[in-house]
Amino acid sequence: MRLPTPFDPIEIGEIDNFAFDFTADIGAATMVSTSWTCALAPFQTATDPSAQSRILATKLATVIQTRDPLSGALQTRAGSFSVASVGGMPASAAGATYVLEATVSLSDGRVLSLNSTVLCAGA
Amino acid sequence: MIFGDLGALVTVETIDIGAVGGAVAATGVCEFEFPIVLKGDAGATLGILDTLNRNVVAALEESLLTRSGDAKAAAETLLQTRCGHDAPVEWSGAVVVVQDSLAILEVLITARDDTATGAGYLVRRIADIGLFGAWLEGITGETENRVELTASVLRERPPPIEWSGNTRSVDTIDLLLRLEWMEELSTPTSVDRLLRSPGRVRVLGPSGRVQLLKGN
Repeated sequence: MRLPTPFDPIEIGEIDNFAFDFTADIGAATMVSTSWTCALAPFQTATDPSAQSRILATKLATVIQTRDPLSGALQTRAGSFSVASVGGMPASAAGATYVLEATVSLSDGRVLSLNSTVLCAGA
Repeated sequence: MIFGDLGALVTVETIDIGAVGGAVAATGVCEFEFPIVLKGDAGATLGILDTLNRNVVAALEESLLTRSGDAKAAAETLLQTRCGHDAPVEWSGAVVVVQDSLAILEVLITARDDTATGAGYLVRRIADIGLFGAWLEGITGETENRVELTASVLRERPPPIEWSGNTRSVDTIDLLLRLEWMEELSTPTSVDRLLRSPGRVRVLGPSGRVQLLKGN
């Protein structure tokens, strides 16, 4: 499922956590595993020869700490999250739009996916 | 607090509940029973989990509700009890020396909540319980992911105990304390980089057949 809201843009060389909140979909099941894909959206002049490698690590989380971008304050949220450490975009990707997709396997056999876009801003 | 012999139920007669997450400042008195967890039982990964009375939680929550008058705050309350031989038992800031026990028991009871108050309290409490992690580490031999323990209590049939993804069935006499580990609270994510699923409502669409409405 494509979410209409894009992630906050990421800068070249920046590394940060990105997360999808699957809480509304989980029900009584639990998350078993997760994987992420990263690809350039089509029809762009910017390039990234190794977009998938921008996914540095993935994890499941039932608690995360959200960081307020203004105050920097941390707030703990409970739920069902798929989190990925994303970053290391090359300079050639400046201005590119990436599509980040998380897939979560659930204990009841369902496999759910959410994706959205993130703009790679020039540093 | 008076602790009986191992294997026996333990009666806690009086509990002083101090400030809870900055949201509740009250003194509660309740009486309940809870189990002893025996450390180092040969071959047992998690030791012995003995009877835990359902009334433990109910009594505590009721007491908190009564004293605080704040259902939400009470629900967020996290309960921690630690007992060992001549070791202090800590309960929401109240510390009592245990008179008789070879065991260490820690119980964290919380109705998890998204609010900063509840979660913040949880985090602060977790930061205080390195001893508990060491205890479980000694029992299980595992060191990873020992950050947080929640006890969602009481099942008629003992559920499996989970430890870092490994589950184990534990034989118990009666009811059981369910131990559930959560991962470390170390995943800071910007709110602008957290997207929430709207939920999936799969409604069958129309057949695709175009129906012409004939006007009169």
